[in-house]
Amino acid sequence: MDREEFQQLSAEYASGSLEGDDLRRLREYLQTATGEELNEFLELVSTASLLPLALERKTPPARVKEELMKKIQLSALAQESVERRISEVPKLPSPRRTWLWYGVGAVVVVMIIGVSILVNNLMGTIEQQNVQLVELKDELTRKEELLKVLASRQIEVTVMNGLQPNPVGYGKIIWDPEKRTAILQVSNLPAVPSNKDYQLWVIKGKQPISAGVFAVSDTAPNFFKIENLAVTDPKEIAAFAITLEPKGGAASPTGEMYMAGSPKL
Amino acid sequence: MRTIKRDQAAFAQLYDRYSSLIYTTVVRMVKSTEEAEDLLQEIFMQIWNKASLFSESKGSVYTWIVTIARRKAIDRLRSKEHAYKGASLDEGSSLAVPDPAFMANPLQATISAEYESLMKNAFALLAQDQRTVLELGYYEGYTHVQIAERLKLPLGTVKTRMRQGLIKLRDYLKAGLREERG
Repeated sequence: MDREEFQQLSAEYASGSLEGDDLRRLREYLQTATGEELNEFLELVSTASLLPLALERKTPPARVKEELMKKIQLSALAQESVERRISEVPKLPSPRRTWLWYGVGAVVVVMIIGVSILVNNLMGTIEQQNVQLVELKDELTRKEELLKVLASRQIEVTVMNGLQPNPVGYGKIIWDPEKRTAILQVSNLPAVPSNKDYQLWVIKGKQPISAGVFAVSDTAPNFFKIENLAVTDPKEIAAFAITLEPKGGAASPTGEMYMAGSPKL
Repeated sequence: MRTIKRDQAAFAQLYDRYSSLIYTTVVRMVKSTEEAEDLLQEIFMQIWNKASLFSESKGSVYTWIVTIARRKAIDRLRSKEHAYKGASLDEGSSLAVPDPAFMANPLQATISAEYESLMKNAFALLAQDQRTVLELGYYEGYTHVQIAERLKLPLGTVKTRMRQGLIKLRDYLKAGLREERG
């Protein structure tokens, strides 16, 4: 590019009319231009920029500035709001620390799972022990009741023997006629089906009177407390009998008799 | 330039200093005071938003602002097809913010009574054909091709008059500055 062409392109650039390939050529040339060429280029740009000073001045209306400053204020407020929101966003840990946190997180999760299993097992054990405790308390209560009955001044004992369909069964009724309470003890009675109950009857004369229902789950000795015994005079009791009845008991015996015994007079 | 720090007071001062010059230029270019007012706001909004891109160590505030204003006005003119049909926007001349590296200011151009007086005198001393080409090209945003068509001159003649006019202006200015500054 000779000096005239360089001046020509520089003048066109300065006047804002240089475009396309000529603009690219000038830019490329300026990359390796001499100091003198660069200075000439900048002088022409600077001269062109002074051309507005040759015009007769006009003053814009004051409202232009007012409107502009309002826009600037809004822009500044919006920028501040964005910057504040950005600053409020919690910083993410660095990638290296992310893996560390993943590791710590995994350990914590494993620990939580382990502790959960342990707690679950402990809870199961505690629940099981609670059940056993309740059963033991019930057993203790029953034995305390038995002891109370046995400690009574006057007690009556009636032995019951097993009948068909369960001849191996046996039991006792120990009762306190004065307090109208009794203890029923049965052994070797088969466990009752879920829709059945055993029912104890007091036979007065020839009339069976219900003394309550009970269920057994195994053939081990089982004790049951009976309150408000309907008949307390041994002379009026013909026998005690146990039948298998529908769940909740029946108004009169309907099922097979499993056990029976008469007071010794 | 304190405007870089989003200082509204500094920006208001900058507006007071440059708004008249910019308004004068864009009124001449778009030939409508209403449109010039709209453009003036656009130009100063761009200055506000792009101030962080400017570095005084790389260029002149004056040249940077005047160049932004001219480019905005030319974009506006070229978006109107009526007077500038056929002209196309170019990557290097329109929407982009001027490169401050090209805004060096060996003549120390600025707004001052001294420069205004020198420029008015220098422009008046140009030959009429050079002045006409510069007015059409710089003040009214016509391309060289459009000027050639309008004046019914060869394109080369338009380019030569433009170059010669600008070089004369520069020489007048340099001589005038040397004279006034002793």
